[in-house]
Amino acid sequence: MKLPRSGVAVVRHGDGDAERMDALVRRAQAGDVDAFEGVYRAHAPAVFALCKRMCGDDVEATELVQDAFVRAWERLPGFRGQSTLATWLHRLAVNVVLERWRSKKSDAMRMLDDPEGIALNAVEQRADPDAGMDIAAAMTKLPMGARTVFVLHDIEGYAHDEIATMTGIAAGTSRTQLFRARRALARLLEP
Amino acid sequence: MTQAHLTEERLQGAADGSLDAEQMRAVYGHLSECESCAAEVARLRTVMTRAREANTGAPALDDLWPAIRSRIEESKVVAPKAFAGRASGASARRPWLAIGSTAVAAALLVAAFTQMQRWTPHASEAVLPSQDVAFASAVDSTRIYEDESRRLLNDLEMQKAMMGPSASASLSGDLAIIDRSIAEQKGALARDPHNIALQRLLAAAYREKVDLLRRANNAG
Amino acid sequence: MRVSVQMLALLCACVVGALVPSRAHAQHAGATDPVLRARALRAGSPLKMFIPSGTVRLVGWDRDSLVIRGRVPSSGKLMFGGSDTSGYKLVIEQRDGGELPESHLLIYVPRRSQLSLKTADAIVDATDVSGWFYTVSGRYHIDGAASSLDVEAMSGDIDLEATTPYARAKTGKGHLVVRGTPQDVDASTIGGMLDIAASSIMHGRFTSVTGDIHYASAIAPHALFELSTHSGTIDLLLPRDVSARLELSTVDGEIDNGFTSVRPAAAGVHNLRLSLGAASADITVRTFKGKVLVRSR
Repeated sequence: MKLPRSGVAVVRHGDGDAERMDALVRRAQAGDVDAFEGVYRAHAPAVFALCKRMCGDDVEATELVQDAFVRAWERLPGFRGQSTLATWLHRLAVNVVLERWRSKKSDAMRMLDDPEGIALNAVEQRADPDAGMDIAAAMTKLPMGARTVFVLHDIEGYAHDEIATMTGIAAGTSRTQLFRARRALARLLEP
Repeated sequence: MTQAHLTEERLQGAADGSLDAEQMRAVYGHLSECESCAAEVARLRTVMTRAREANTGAPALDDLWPAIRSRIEESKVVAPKAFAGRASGASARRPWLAIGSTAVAAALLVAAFTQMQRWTPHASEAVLPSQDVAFASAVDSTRIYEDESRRLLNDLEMQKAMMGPSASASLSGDLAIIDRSIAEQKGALARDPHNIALQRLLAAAYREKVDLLRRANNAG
Repeated sequence: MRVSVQMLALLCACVVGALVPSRAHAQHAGATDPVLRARALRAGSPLKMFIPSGTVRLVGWDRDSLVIRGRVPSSGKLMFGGSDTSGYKLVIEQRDGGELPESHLLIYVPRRSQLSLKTADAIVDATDVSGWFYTVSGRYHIDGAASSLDVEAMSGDIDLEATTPYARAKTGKGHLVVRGTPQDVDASTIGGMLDIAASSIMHGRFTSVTGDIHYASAIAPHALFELSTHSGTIDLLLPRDVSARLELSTVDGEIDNGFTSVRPAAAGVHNLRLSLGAASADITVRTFKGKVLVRSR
């Protein structure tokens, strides 16, 4: 199902709710931490879900959520409403995750640029052919690079050019990674 | 039916809707005649749908806030003028009273949306481990929509004053229709409490109510 | 199969054509009307509009600009703000608290703009646009291609005829028509009639409270449909050679099965399971006390 970018869809408010959230943001921009707590409580579940899907680990995801909201607080004065707050927060959280991986020089960044899908082939060969698994488990089996592209494109709704800009891989590589990730997931999900 | 099968690019594009209008028309034409490609597209779409619906199982995120707040406070060099006098003490908590309902409401919205995304009919029923889980999920959806409709009804009191007479009459009429259907379904559920179809109908009725109240909030 | 599907499509077009509200009296603005505003607007930028009453013709085009032609009466005022980077806001404001100003506008927007249009009772005819569309009691007709459509009415009519991967449409007592070539559809009414005539739908959720739901089209292979109502009638008019598994249930209504030559997989007073053809698509129907009709053509 093609949905609008998930952050936008999840926090789809009527005008009244949107106005209240706008007021919270304005107060937070003026330095009101209590107001920012309201922003945090409204958006933390979606940001956590994003981080968890990208890194596949609860503990790391909670660390990333903290980093993302501290970063959001620092950057909030620059938020001018060109996008919805949810979209802005998701973009910021994605950058926090990618920066952490870059700083660790992790395999994820190397695997992002894996146009031949070597890592994916290895996953499929390791998977037990007799056992279908649930989607959350299957996603954790993907190499981090492929998972990142899959999460950013199919769940967060970013276009390949945007993913290319964020991650530094070519748009074509992003497309190839995505196709292969979907195929691998389809196979992993089969009973 | 001698057409070649769709390319990988087209199959994936049909699955995620990224084809342009002309390509889409051509691909749909092919899919209506080619079982094999239609099955491939359906398979890919199932992956995407299930990935979006996957529950990431959030931990107690409220517990993270004190640490985040403390990092924020540490990072402050100069207290902002507008709120400099309200950094601590009882007065600093007052805004939270107002924020509380917004945050809870937003969380409910997120939860309700998650439930809405979980609807994939039949296919999802096939993957559920048992009817009990499906029933519990329907009960859960009902509860979430019911809570949300209660909150929206409270909010609507303010909006009603700004609503035109025809919009207001239309809203009252539609609410009465939905409430009557909910009452009938609840009566039937009391007589047959484990009827999963009934429970789903009740969840659907509450969902309609939530949708209506959200629409009404925009009618001022 | 091909012939029967085409005949069915033709029939559906006729039925839907008869059901769609007449637009003969709409006084749309045209290309000869004066230009009220023209601005550069980047494709993908948001555009928020409030046009309470009158007629609006919205057209997505392949240029990076926004052009508004038409007429705004003296009882109204066109307010316009924003920049090409942040998007624009267009509001027709009422002067002196009189009647809602009936403006007649022709608006060209970049095809990939994300629109947000709100009206009170305006009649809107749109082509190749995407976004959120709201009305209290007006009408929407949307065709062409869209990245997504979200159309809501309190009591107005909605006619979706677009090619889009995702469409959501909701109304109260208005008439809701889904045709064109949408892929995923979530459509509901409260008391209004819901007509569906689109064979492209892969995922469809159709609900009403008391309104009747009519589906008259072929079913895409592997499609997943869920139709439910409290007390409306659900009427499925399917090709004779349809390939679908149907699961029909009602708490207190009737089920009328027109596929009498097919032996049901399961049948009771209030439920029926049918496997038609290769049973490729899945259709679930639930009603509380509404009648379920399954007919073949």
